[in-house]
Amino acid sequence: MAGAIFLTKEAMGNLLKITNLSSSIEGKKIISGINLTIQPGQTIVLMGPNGSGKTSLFKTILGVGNFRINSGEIYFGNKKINNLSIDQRARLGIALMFQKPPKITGVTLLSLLKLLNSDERKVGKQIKNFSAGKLALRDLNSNFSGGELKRSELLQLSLQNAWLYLLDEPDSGVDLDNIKLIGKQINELTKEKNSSVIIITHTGQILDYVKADKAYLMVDGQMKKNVN
Amino acid sequence: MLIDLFSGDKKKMRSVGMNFNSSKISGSLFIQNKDPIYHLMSDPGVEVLDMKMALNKYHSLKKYYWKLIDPKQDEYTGQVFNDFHQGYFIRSKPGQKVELPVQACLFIAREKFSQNIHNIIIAEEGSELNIVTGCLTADYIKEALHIGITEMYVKKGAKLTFTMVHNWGEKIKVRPRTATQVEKNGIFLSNYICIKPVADLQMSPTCYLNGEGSVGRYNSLLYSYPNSSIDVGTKVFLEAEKARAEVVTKAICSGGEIVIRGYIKGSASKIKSHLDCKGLITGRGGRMRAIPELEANMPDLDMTHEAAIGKISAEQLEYLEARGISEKESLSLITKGFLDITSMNLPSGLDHQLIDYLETL
Repeated sequence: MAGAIFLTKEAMGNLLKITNLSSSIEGKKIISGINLTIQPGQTIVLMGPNGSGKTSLFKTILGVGNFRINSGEIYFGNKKINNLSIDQRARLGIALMFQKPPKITGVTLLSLLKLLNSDERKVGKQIKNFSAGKLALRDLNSNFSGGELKRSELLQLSLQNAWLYLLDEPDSGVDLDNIKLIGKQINELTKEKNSSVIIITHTGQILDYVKADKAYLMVDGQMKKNVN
Repeated sequence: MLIDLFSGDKKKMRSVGMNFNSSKISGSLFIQNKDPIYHLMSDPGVEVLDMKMALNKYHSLKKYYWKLIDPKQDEYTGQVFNDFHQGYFIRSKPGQKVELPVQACLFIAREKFSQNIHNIIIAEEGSELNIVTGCLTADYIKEALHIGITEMYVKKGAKLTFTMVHNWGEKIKVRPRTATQVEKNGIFLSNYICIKPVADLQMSPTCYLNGEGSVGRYNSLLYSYPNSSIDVGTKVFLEAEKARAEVVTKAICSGGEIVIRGYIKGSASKIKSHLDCKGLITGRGGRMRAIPELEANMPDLDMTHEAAIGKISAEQLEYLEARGISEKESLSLITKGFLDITSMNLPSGLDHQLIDYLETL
């Protein structure tokens, strides 16, 4: 579904470039002065305490929620996306793994997967790869267990064919065996197009299975220097 | 009899479930204004006649005629009693399982016409019958009134599936008056769909479960538009032991006024019932009321109800949009999901027609 991204001279080889980004909800400042760049194929880790603005940063990038950009710019490739709608941003090639996806009654996971990718063979193959045959027939996120939610999110992302994946706590509430599996699935996501990933993690457990290029710490809505 | 219709009318008739392939149906009766214009009986297990013909043929029909509905109930029943036009008579013979649906079409093609209809359906002992009724007006009709009296009898061990689809115009007034009686171990399944504009619709189909172990199940889907008034209720009386009833109404209000009612009365032991009224408001300026009501006078019964009115949440919309689906498409996906037409087991083709229509909203 993702469109073509041209990394022109202006983009300086960056897939995503965020400069001096601040956003707020109902006048309350949530993130401020964020600078972040990510290049094709890179994996970045975001760590930090609860409420430090990690999820808010993801939502601001995609335009989800009532976040208002107060200052700064978000470039995806050479395109400024500050004022694009959510679906336009997604179609450019940004895919978000939701931490708490809403349930949608009467819409099966399978029907959504078919909308995400018109290649039915690929949809079938991915359902098989994610062992989601039964899950796909259920209403979206309706009574899904914690593990099923993660599986469903990653399965959807795998069919979005994006350039940038924003993964919000893929390892939270997941047992060790499944973290390994999720790690493998994240690595698969990026393979085909040398896509980039930003991962929010509290525990860092996922990093046993996913190799990160850089790690940042977020505190009080601000991005701190690299951490180990 | 030959059917002679404009292709536009045929298209509209398909939208209410009418099938023009005679190999896919057990029988048909089309009534235009007050005249039968097409009649077909192709399954010996079922009899399909126009009502005037049936009343002439069967004098015993009197024991079914105006027995579940009182002509004095209101001005509309009175109007049909005093000026009866036509209707359909459908009867499945004892023990016959009529596999393909029987279809009846009530069509108004005259401006300011008042169509006064009276129908009788009998599913004889041990039989199975599946009926699709499509009610509609020709596209050029601006104003009209449709009154439809329907009395249905589900005999011992019989199963009747009755699907009614409405496709009226923006200034059409509609007053169906329907009642069903279900005998021992009989099953009555009702699907009612009105998702296209109508000016003024008021009905309250009633079901008397007066045989032991009888079952009544109602599924209704409603959609109201600006300037429309819809008041749809379902009444079920559980009058015999172990009778069971389920009434589910789902309504979307994009404007106008819509009332969804449900009333279930339990007056026998070991009965079980559930009443569910779900509403979704998608447009400003509309008003919706959900009124579920239960009444019981026995100690050992199980009756429940739910009622909820909500709006499409921004969270759901954004979730789908984050997958690259446009806002309009996301809205349609959520709406279709809410109505969940595919779970109604409608005759083949009708569900696709309705889903295609929902996509155009």
